[in-house]
Amino acid sequence: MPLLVFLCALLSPSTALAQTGNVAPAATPANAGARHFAVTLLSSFEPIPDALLPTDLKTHRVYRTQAEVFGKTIYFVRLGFFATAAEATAMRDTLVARYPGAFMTEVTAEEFGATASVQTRSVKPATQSSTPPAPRTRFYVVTLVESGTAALAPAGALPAELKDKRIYRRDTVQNGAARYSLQLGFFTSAAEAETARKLLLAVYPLAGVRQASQQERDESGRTVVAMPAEKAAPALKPAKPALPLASVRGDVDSQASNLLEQSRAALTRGDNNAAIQLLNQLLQLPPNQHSQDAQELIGLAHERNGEVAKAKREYKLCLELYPDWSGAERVRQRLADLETAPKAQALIAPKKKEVSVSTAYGSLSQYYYRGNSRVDSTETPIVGPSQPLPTLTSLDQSALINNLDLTGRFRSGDYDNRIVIRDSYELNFLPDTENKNRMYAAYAEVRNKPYELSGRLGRQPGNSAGVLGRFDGISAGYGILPKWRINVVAGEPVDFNPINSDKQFWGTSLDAGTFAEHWNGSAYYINQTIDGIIDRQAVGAELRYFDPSRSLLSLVDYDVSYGVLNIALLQGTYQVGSKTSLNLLIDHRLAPVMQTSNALINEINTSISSFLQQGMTEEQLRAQAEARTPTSDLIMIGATHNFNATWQLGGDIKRYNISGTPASGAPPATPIAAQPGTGDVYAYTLQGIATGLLTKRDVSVLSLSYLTSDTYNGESISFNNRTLIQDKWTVDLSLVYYQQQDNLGTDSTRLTPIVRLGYRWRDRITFEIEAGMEKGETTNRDLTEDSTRNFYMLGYRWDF
Amino acid sequence: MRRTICSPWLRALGLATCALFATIANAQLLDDIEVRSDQGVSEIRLHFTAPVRYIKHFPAERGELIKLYLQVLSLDGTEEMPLQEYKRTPSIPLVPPYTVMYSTARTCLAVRDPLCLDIQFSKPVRFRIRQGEDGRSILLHVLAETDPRPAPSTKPSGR
Repeated sequence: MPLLVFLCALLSPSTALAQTGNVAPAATPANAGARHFAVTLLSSFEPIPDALLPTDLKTHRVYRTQAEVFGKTIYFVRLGFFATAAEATAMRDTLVARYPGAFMTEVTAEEFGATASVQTRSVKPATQSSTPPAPRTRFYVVTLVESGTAALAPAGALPAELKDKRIYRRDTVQNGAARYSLQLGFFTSAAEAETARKLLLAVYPLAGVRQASQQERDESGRTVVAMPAEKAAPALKPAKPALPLASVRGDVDSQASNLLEQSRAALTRGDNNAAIQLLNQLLQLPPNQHSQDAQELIGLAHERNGEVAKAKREYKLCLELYPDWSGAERVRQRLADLETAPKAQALIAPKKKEVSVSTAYGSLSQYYYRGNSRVDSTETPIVGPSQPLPTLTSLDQSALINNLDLTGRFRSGDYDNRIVIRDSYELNFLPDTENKNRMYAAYAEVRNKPYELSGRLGRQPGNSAGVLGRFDGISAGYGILPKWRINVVAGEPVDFNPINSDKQFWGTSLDAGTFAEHWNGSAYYINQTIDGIIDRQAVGAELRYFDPSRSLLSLVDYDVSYGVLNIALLQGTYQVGSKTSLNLLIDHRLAPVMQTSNALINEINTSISSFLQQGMTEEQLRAQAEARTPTSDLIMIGATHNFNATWQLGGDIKRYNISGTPASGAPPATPIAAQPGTGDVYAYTLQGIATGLLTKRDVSVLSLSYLTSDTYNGESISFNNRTLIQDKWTVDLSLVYYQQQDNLGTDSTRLTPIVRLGYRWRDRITFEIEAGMEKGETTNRDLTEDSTRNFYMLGYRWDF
Repeated sequence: MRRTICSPWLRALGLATCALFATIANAQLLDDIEVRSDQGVSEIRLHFTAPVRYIKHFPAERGELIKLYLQVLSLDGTEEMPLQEYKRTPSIPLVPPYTVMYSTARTCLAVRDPLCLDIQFSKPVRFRIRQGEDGRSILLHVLAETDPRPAPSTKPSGR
């Protein structure tokens, strides 16, 4: 069935869409409520310092928050809240000149809930500072009435309990519109303000409590509203006796306030467990003005932690303890969401996504390459003077390379399909050379998310699941279980230097993971034949580990037919702090991996079947293949350190060894003499990278290398610089010097300067020109040879 | 059988020359660039056609030209390597247009089968780089530059 769906989808994505559709996230009471928008002013991979926070944006709240995005913690500073996206976008447009990365954001209900009642700068993740927040004086006011018109007046005289308070007018701009209100203040606790609000509910039924700043308190004296005559005041009686204000325990409140603040910060940064601990501490204090908030928030923390039962219990307790609390309705809603969300989801009919998106992108380029060589040689006989030899000159390269890279992507519902074509055509202008066309990729790909199904048909890259390289064929994968995926592949390898033998392969693999957050891997089996006999029959596995600071990849490939280990590879990286990283590579392999076709190395006749017809047995061919396959061993360790934002220094040490091969081949094969190995070769490299070295917008790389072995020593120094000039020009300079001395008395040097110029025209077309020279000199006791090669390239690339 | 890879002996002699005179064809090591955005963060995943090993990058976390150093760990080391390729994907909101250019010239990094990428943004960005979970991709997380510019000066109210 999955394969049938795959084929149907390949032929007609839109038809397949209609069959399967996509289930959009169902609306729930939680997300069906009011939406809230904000403008994200700043975003950062690191906590944002106070110095970057705006201090002059008074009309809305500026607050910090953070979120996990693509597995990384991102810190934000936002300005909110706005009732509509349009209002937030309008605000963003007015701020973008000042905050170039600002964008409109729809905030979650949790972010809104956790932030709306918190003063801007109190939302501070604990990680940003180790010092406790300084104690502050808080003020609370009662917003008596609010209107879009300025004609506001008190409804009557204040009751005796509030004679020491003032009513003042406050003008604000909300969502771009002026708002006028009458405020009653000031109170030192929310409880006092709440008591006052209840006293005034009969006259001001929409009155609410909010926090006020010191600045507002200081400035309120300028807008105090004169009170009407006392006789006009209605006889107000509070519904309940007022709280004895004197009984409010300031020390407990202060402690509770700090704990509440810290817990909100923990909630904001997603550290729910820390929030629960802090809230438990708060709830163990004597009853105070923050007990209700804490009781609600601990339920919220459990809810975010996925502890639904605990969350429900805390919400219910909150409603039992504080049934008349102003936030009780919100708590009831949270509780209702938890109890009804699954049912609501089931009741809402699935909605199909019908949005189809088709895009095509890629590039087309044409580059002309030309190179000339000149070799001047002088022979030094044992006896007699040196004799110059005839100068050799040649035009060694003249070709126009045409490249096409085209990707068509079709996303529709659950399907994400692609057609990829990559082709290179080399038009050669040298005599006796052929033009070459190389189709690197031509495949169609289908991906279906609900089925966890994917497949490719056509010429495609390999290098996975035991497939050695590019091939013509089919590959498909299907998620049989969560975190488990089975794949099949079959086809013919593509070799641009073809042999006269036919290869086919099939294989299967199993992908697993991710487990324990960091581990994944795969195992495979592959069977490949050449002219009807076994070419390669291998099993292999990859095991990978990844976390933010470490990665490890291991790969083993074992040929069960030959009984040899093809590849054993281990590579890892380790980030030490923020500035230093270490890397390691251990790589043992047969090069190339063992295949019967390795018997054709250095053979003119490249047909296995031909050798078989001429009397060679399969065993003889396999023995020849083994004899002509060297082994490569490499171990390398390296380190990189960033000294500051503009300098980096790195170095590595590696040792490698490529084995020799024994004599092999007997007629009808070609006898090949034994080939010596390299012995152990050690290489030491130091590389410095800097920006702003030559110009303000450049990057320079300086590398020094030293190689030593039993047979030769070599040193190289290279310098590369890329400079950006305005928005459209790039200049690349490269200079490489290499020298080598071997045990036979041969010295060679090579100097290669190259300059490249690029110009981007209308954002999509890039013109490039490159010119370089390689100057070489080789000297031994018999011969001195000076060689010069000049080359250049020019062309363009059109990105579409 | 003709192979484009140089012989082991020649390889041992430091094959910068071999690379220079090797094919100039376009072998497409970079299979695809996948981009997605969420909350102002863009994840750029560079998919390669072979396993790659992350070695280092520069600058550390902010700039408009990122140099990324990798090593190709292909199963079949005989596959020819391109000298230079470019890749560009459609621009996405909040991330400045960028071009990925990579080179496999042996002079770019002293490892076997080096892969050196220049990721050129049109404006400075802040970023994080790490190896992909599949061993065949590199992940860039990019934030558009958002450092605030100085607020416009305001005159005193006069009160």
